[in-house]
Amino acid sequence: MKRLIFIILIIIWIVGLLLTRLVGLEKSPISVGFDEASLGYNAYSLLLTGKDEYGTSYPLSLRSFNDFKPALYSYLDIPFIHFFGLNQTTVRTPSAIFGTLSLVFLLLIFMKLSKRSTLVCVIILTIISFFPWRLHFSRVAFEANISMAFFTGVIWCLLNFKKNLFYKVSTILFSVLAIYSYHSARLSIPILLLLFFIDPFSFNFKVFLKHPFEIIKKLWPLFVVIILYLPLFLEFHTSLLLTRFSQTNVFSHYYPFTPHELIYTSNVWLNSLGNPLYYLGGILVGHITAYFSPKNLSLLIYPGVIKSAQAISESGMLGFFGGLMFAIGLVSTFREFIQNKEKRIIIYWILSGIIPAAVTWEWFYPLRSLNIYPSVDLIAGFGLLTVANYFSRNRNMVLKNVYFCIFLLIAFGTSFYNIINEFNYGAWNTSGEFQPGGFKEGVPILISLKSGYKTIYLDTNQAQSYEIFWFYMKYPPKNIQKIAYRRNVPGIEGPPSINFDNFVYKKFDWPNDKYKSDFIYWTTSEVKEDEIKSIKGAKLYKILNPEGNWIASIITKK
Amino acid sequence: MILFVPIFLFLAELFWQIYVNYPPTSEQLNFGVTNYILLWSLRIISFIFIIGTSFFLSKKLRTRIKSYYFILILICPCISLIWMSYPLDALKLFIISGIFYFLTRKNHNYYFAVIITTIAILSLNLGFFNQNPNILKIVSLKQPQSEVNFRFLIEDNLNPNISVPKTLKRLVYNKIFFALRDSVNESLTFFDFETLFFQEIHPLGQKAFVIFFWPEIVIFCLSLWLVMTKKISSKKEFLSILLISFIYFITTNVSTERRLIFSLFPLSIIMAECINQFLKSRSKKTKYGIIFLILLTSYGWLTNYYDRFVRPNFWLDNRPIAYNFFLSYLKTQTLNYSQIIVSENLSESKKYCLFYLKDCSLLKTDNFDLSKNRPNRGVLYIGFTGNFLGQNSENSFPQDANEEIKKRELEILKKTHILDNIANKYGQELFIVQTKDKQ
Repeated sequence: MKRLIFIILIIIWIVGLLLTRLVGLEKSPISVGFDEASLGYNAYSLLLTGKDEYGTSYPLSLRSFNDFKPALYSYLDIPFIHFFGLNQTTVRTPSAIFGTLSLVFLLLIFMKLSKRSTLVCVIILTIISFFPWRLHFSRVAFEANISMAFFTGVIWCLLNFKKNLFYKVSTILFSVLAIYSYHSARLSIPILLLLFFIDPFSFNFKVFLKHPFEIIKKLWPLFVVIILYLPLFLEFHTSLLLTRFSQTNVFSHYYPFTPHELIYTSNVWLNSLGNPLYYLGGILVGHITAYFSPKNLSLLIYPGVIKSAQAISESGMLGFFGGLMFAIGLVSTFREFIQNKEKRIIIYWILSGIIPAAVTWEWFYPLRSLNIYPSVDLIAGFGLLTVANYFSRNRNMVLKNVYFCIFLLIAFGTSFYNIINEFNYGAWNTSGEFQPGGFKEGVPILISLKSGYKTIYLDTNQAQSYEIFWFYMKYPPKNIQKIAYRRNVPGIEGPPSINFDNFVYKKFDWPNDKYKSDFIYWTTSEVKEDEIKSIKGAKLYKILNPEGNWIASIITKK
Repeated sequence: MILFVPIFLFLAELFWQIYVNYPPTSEQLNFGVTNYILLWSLRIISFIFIIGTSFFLSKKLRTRIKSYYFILILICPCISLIWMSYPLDALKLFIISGIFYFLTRKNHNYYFAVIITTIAILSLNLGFFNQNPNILKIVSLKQPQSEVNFRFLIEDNLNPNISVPKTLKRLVYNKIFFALRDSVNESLTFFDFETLFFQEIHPLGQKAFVIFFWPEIVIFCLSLWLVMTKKISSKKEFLSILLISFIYFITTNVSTERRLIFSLFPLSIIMAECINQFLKSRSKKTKYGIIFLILLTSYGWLTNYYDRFVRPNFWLDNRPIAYNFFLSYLKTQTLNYSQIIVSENLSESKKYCLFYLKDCSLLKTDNFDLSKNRPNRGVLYIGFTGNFLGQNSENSFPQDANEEIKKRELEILKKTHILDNIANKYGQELFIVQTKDKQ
């Protein structure tokens, strides 16, 4: 009976977490970004035609903007689109579900490592589940979020690896799923398995030289995962699959590393003072340490992050409370991570998750290192435990209870703050950056008008906006597959605009355009109302964003 | 042998300062510096303050560790900047560390020492030096109050929005909660690894002097490992000074590297402990590892030292350089002008003038705009491109600005490019100009 009540309570807990991730997805974040639109539209295309937008049958990677997104997210999205249609909620639902699933894995890991009662672990995990990144990344369609959930699953299975066959098979299954769901896992999963099975902290090189096969034998799960990894390479040419790496790697971006004024030899590598190796070393070490900085984890600092879908309103990944708990957890449990063999997995987890981010050019880019964030949460969880332990040492019962109450009040108050910050303030604060305004509100008007006009001109400053139009218009995928031959060849980044059917991208130029007829203009450029009204037959539709600002215009002329 | 290294480092920094010949800063002029003898005297006094500070904070360290500690302090380019330009910072460090030293010299109650030193920092920063740190705005609840009001306004007008009852919102949308949030956020900026260790390659392009070279972050991590796992003699001292440096950080309102300067001392203490312990280690791997890191740090110092010779203007504040440019010119000329008008962007011209010239009566600062007004004959104009061609909100001016200026009946006597944007909307070219028909 007790067990049944416990199971029911855990189910209620999970449903509660899922609901906070699913509620109001149609309203906040306000609209989809181009990557979300691409994932959703490709799922829609796969559902209707069995092919992606380029006409490739059941691909493992989506060519999308020539960035070859792993296709697993879109496949997972198909059932939701099938039953509930293509909309913001359905495209974000897999992310919400896997964001919740990762918390279940994290709870199991935390229970195993902290050796505390389930109730204490559930309370701590409830606080963690409302950390800003936990909410935000589960409310936006990110392939990285499902990869993170599988990665957390791998950790849980590795902790129980020796128990039985179920965990051995699950380790391989989750590893492969993580690899097939996001780029960075392709590097971090093999590194994690290698580190876990070799265990460098207790590795003896002399023993290895004497019995090399004993150690190699231990690595069998890694070899199985590598074999199951191969179809990805067989589907496309290897160089195409590495497109994303060539677009984002640290080596080509920063070359020659040394400031130009300090280079005094024709071959930069021969610079005795200010050698590029010194600066490259600094960049790599800096990238790694950036992910441990409480400042970076708590505050929103980097412009590259602020203007992307990762932007959490007025907060870093952990927020102020999470950042503080992380700092406490790191200091209080750092020693145990190395000395305790079981807890050592946290170090391997962080190392394997950080390496893909370290070799990309951005200094701090949470999306590429998302696999490490559950471990960061775990450290913050240990921080919460440390604070709770500190209070429990107080002999005065009244004071002890008062301290606990204040602490829980701050912790749950912060959780509530994070929820409303994500729901409404976040929707306002990040609107126009990763949530380009106007499309969601304007497309229904465009659909109602488009049949009556010969040409539809599109003018927006949003890159790859065509994908957002297709998404909100639920444009027939077959029409898009037909124009695949006109699109950029792989290896070149996707074009900012593509003409399709009678939709033509063209810069808004009213002084000349006003003489044309039989067209619709969609534009985000500045439009002067009087100028439009002064032309006979021209009509202006103002598109307002949720803040009430005039963000785009539709102009028609017969 | 090792004792000669600090002397060598001091001489090297002195040589760099003489080579660069950096003009006085506004802070030094406030001390009444009117010539180079006074300027250099002040610099030497500031250096003594820094050495005094280092001494006060290292009393518990054994001789060998102390040598490593002094080397770590002296290789820090930021220390050179402080004694070259910011005497008040040096004085503040000296007073605070002195108080801590005398409180802990005989009495080993560190709690008491930290409390008294904190009171001293607050009195110095908030009272005597009149700093207006961000934390004060937060604690006074003014800033949190306006943030709460703003949030309510925004969220109420958002359409569509996810409705949350106002009474529930009030639980966290109140000035106390926002003050807590803002104070923790402000405190977390203290853990600024990028400014402390990666200034050579700062990701945000922040312009500041190097505090530690990047290889030192590895030594620092090893030191933290030592602090957490082993018994080290200076642990208590390290934690106390770290706490003091945190208080110093949140109660000052200057550039980030100057706010973080106090952290240099506690971090150097544990890094010196770490170097000593690792060098003593029996394991060859550990010994070679730490020697490699020391060599890498030395290479970092050498590279940065060379860099400061090649690009002094990149590292140094460009305002004194701008004043030096036109005042040095005026010093060499016979000033037969009815007036010398200097752009208001160089508002401290009169103060600087007393350092370079004997008579400053002709000098006047004015926000002149010669794109709207005709230049006066017999007047010497000193200003940025925007003063001659009209200001530009994007700070962008034509490549041939010289020709444009010449077209306006003006003669350019001298010009220079200022690397920093010290006059926003006015460009980075500084001109000394007179009318073509001067008489």
